[in-house]
Amino acid sequence: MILLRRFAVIAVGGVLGSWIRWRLAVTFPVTPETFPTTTLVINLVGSALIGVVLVLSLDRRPPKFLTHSFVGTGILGAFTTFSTFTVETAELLRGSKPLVAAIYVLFSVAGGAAAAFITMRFTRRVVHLEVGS
Amino acid sequence: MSGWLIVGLAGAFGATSRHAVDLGMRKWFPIGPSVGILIVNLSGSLLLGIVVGLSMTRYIDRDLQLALTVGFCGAFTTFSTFAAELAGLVNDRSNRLLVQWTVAMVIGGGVAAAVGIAIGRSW
Repeated sequence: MILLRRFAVIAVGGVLGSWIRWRLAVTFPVTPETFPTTTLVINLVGSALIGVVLVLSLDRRPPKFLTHSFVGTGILGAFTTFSTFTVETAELLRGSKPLVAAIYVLFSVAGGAAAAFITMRFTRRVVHLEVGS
Repeated sequence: MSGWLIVGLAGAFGATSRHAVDLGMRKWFPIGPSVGILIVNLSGSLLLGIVVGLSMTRYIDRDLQLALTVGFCGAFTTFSTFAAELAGLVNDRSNRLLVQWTVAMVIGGGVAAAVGIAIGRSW
């Protein structure tokens, strides 16, 4: 039952995350062989938000597993995407744009990791301040 | 069919499939970054590459394409979990694993996407 409920909230979160990503991709289309700003922004925003969500759900005692499944695995998991990132990178390389591809990979990976790292630290600090006061 | 319905259904299927793979692989690899997410991201990159490659040389039904690309592959693969795992490895000062995991995901995913595009184009 718990497993079924978890899959149900991930499905609903998956719908919401996919919808937002889809509408953003339609509203801000990226022409082939140019810098894929839309996917980059989506992945950086999602990486920043996952840091907040992880601390607010799994750092709690007791942990809020269902919140993590819904917002983290469902919404943010489906909102951010890896396949579009890799296919866009492969297309940039195929179109002889190695420098653009390298900048895209660097911004995505280092930027995403840094965004998650910073928001995790920041959220922990704020939460602990509140607990302490 | 409406785009909302297509993207929503395919996205729900992609997200739950991702979690199923993640859960399944956790039994084999209980510690460290998720091997399931690695498998999901590499296979999703391959699949998206194939669909994108196919669409370069032949007509694919627009609804089917939307379901497979934006819906399924988009929601099946994920960037946020990958970023959070990298942040965790930075936090733990697991520098070697950080480099290995980044290389496996990024080079592996890039190669999978390129191979997929090549397969799709020459199908």
